[in-house]
Amino acid sequence: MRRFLGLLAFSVVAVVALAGGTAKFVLGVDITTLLPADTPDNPTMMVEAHIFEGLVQYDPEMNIVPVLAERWEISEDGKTYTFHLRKDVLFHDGTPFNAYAVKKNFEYILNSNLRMGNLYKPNIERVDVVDEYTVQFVLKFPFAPFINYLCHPAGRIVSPKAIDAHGSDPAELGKHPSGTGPFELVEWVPGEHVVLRKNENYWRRGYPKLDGIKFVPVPEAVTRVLQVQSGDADLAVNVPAVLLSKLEKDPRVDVVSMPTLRVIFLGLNLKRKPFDDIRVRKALNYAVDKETLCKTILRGLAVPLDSPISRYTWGYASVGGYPYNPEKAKELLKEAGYPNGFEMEILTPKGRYPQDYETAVAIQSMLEKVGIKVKVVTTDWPSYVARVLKTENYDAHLLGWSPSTGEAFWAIQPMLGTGGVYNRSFYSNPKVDQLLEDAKREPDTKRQLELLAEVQKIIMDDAPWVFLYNVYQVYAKNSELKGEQAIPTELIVLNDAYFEE
Amino acid sequence: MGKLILMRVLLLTPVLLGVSIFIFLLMRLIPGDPAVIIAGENATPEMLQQIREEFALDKPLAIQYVTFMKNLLSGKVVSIKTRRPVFEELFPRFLNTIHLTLFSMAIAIPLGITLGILAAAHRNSLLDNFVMVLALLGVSMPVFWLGIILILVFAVQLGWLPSGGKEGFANLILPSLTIAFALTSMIARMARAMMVETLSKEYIRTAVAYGLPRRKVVYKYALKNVMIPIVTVIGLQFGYLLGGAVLTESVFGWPGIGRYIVDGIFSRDYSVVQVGIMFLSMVFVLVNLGVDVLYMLIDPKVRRDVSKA
Repeated sequence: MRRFLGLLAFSVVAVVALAGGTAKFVLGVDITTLLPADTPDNPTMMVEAHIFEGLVQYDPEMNIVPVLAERWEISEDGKTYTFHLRKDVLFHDGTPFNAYAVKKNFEYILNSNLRMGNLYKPNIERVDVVDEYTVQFVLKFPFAPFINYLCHPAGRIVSPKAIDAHGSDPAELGKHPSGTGPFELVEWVPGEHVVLRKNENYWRRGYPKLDGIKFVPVPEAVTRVLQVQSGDADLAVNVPAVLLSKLEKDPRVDVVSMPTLRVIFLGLNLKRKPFDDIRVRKALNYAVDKETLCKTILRGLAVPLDSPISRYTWGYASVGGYPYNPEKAKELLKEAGYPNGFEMEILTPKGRYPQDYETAVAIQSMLEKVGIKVKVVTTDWPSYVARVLKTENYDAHLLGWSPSTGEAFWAIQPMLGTGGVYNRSFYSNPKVDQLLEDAKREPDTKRQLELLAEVQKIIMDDAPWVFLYNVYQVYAKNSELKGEQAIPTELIVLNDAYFEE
Repeated sequence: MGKLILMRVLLLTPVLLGVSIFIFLLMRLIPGDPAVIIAGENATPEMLQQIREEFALDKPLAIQYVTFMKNLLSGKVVSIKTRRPVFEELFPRFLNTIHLTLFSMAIAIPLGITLGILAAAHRNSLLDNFVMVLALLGVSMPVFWLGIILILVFAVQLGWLPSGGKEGFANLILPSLTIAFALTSMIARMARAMMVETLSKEYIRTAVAYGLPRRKVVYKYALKNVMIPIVTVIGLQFGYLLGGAVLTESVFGWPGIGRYIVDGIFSRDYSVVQVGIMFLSMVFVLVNLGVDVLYMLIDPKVRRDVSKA
C-alpha cells in the first residue's frame, strides 16, 4: 500500500503479526442502516465495508480490483457486462454466493425504493444468469462508467435469503445484514455501538486477522482523539487540524493523512453581477493564494486544484489553474470596469469540511488586497444547504464535493452540467454538456479520457468557481494497529488490519 | 391528594397537544429540508422526491400534522433518517439518560445538602468560604471544559477510567462527576442560603432561647423547613436532566436522549424531534407532579391546604 503522506513516517520493517484482538473504531455519528443500497451516508458505508463485498471495488490507489467477480468482459457495443464469479464464497447465513444471488440483489434494487437505487435504475435494463457462476448486466445504453458504479458501496451484495425474509421492509432488512465479508454482525445497539466478529468461513484464507471490530459513535472530535490517546479506542476519524501538533508528540498515537476525492471550491453565482463577467471570475481566481491556504490554514493537509476534479478521480487531467497573481487580478478587474473593486458576500458552512470557515476568512483578507470587500456569512449546515439549494440569494458559496462513484462524470455533471442537481453556480456551457454525453457513450477508453480532459480544460477556463483545493482525510490510530486501508472515497477499512506486538 | 394527581394527569392531554403543535410548527420554521440532509450529498433529485413522498413532506402542513398524529397514536412514527420506529430508538437512550441522572443525583444530593448546611451552620468560617468558592466554580465552569479536563486527567494521564462510551459501570463515573459538580454546587448554595435565612427566624431564636442544643435546633427544626425549597430545586433539575445533558453526553459520547434529539434537529429529522420533545414534556410534567406529592409528604401545611381545597 502506498503512503502518500504520513505525519509519522512509516518505517518498513518486517513484523510478525499476532493474530487476534478486537479493534475499537470511533466514528462521528451512528450508522443509519446495514443495507448497502439504502445507505446514503459515509460512516454507514464504512461499517458495511467490513460486512459486505461487491463484485469489484476500489483499492487505496483507486484501481478497480476484483472481489466477488474474478474477471469481467465488456461487449463491443458497451452495453453488456459479463462477470465470472468466485466459486468458493458463502454468505454469513450459509447461503452460497452465485449468479442467482447477484441477479436477486440487483432486481431487488431495481424494484424497490432504496435510497441509492437511482445509481442503477436509469442504466440497467436487466440482469441475466448465464450459468451458476456467470452473470450478465445488460444496459439500456452504452455507459462507460458502469464498472465504476459497481464499485460504489451501494452495489455490495446481500444474501438472497435475507432479501426473501426481510426485503419487503428495507429498514428490517437493514437490521439483518448477511454479506460475504470478513466480519459478521453480532449486535447493533443504535446510538451505542455496532459489534462485528470474524467470519470463520471467509473465502480469503488467513483473513481477517482481527477477531472483531467495535464501532462506537462519539460526536465530539476532541473526545475521539482523547480516546485513542488513552488507549480506549484504536482508530478515530476526522481529526481536527488544531490537535495535530499535540498528537505528533504522542508515541502511542499515529496520525495518518490520506488523499480523498473531495474538492473544495467557492462557487460563484453566475446569475448575479459582477460574476457574470468572466474577467471578474478570473480575477478572483488569481487573487486567492491557494498555496498559502493549503500550507497555513490547512496545515499541509490539502493540495491546490489544477482541475475541477481531484487527481485521484478517474478521468482526471491536469489542466493548469490560476497561480497567485494579485497584479493580474487588479488588471482584470480594471478591464471589467471595477478598478476600485466591489463588495461581495461569501456563504460558508462551519465545521462541515476541514477548516472551511477559516478558509473563507483567509480568502476575505486576500480579496481585500485587490480591493474586493468581503463579508463572510455562516449558518448551521441544514440551513446552509437550504439557502444554497433552494434560493439564488448569494454571491458565492463554499462547498466540497466528492464523487462517491470515483469517476469524472459524477464529479462534474451534478456540479457543472447545465441544470445539474448541485450546480448552484448556474454554470452552463453547451459544449461541456455535449462532450460529457459523448464521453459517456464512447467505448474507446483513450478517446474517452481525451474528451474528459477537454471538458476539464473548458471549465477551468470559464472559471465558474474559485478553484481552491483537494483535502486529505486525517485519522488517528493506536500505533500498534497496522494494515488499515484508507480509500480516497473517504472510507477507512480494517479488513486486513492487525495489531503488532 | 388522589384527586389532585388525577387532575394533573388529565391536564397532560391538552399540554401535550399544545406542545405537539408548537414543536411541529417550530421545526417547519427553521430552514432546511430533511430529505436533502438525510439523503446525503450524492443524492439525485429522484431520491429526494422519494423521501419527501415517503414522509408526506410535500403535503400541506395540516395534512402533515394529521398524518403525524395518526402515526403517533398508532405508535408507528418512524425516523426519517433510519426508518426505524422512533420509540424503539428513544427508549434505550432514555434509560441511559436515567442512569446518568440518577447516578449524578446520588452524588449531588447528599453532598450538596451536607455541604450547604455545614456552611450555613458554620457561617463565615474557613469551611464556609471554601465550600462557597467551590460552589461558585461549580455553577460557573462550562460543562464542556470540565468534561474534557476530567478525560485528560483520569483517562489519558492516569488511565484509571474510560474516556467515554457506554460499556460498563466505569463509563458512568466521569460523566456523572461532570454533571454532579454543577448540581452539587447549585444545591449547596441553595441549602446554605435557605438555612441562613431560616436560622434567623423567630421560632429558631425562641428554640435557642429555651436552651435547646444548637445541634438539635439546626438539624431537626431548621432542616425540615429548609427541605421544601431544596426539593423544588432538585425536582426541577431532575426534570431538566431527564431531558438529557446534551453537552456532557456529547463530550463523553454517552448515548442519551439529549444528544439523540439534538442530532435529530441537526438532520432535520422531524419525527425524532417531535416525538422526543413531546415525550420529554410528558416526563417533565410527571416529575413536577412527583415533586408536588413530595411537598405534601414533607410539609403538613401543604397537605392540609390540599385536603381543604
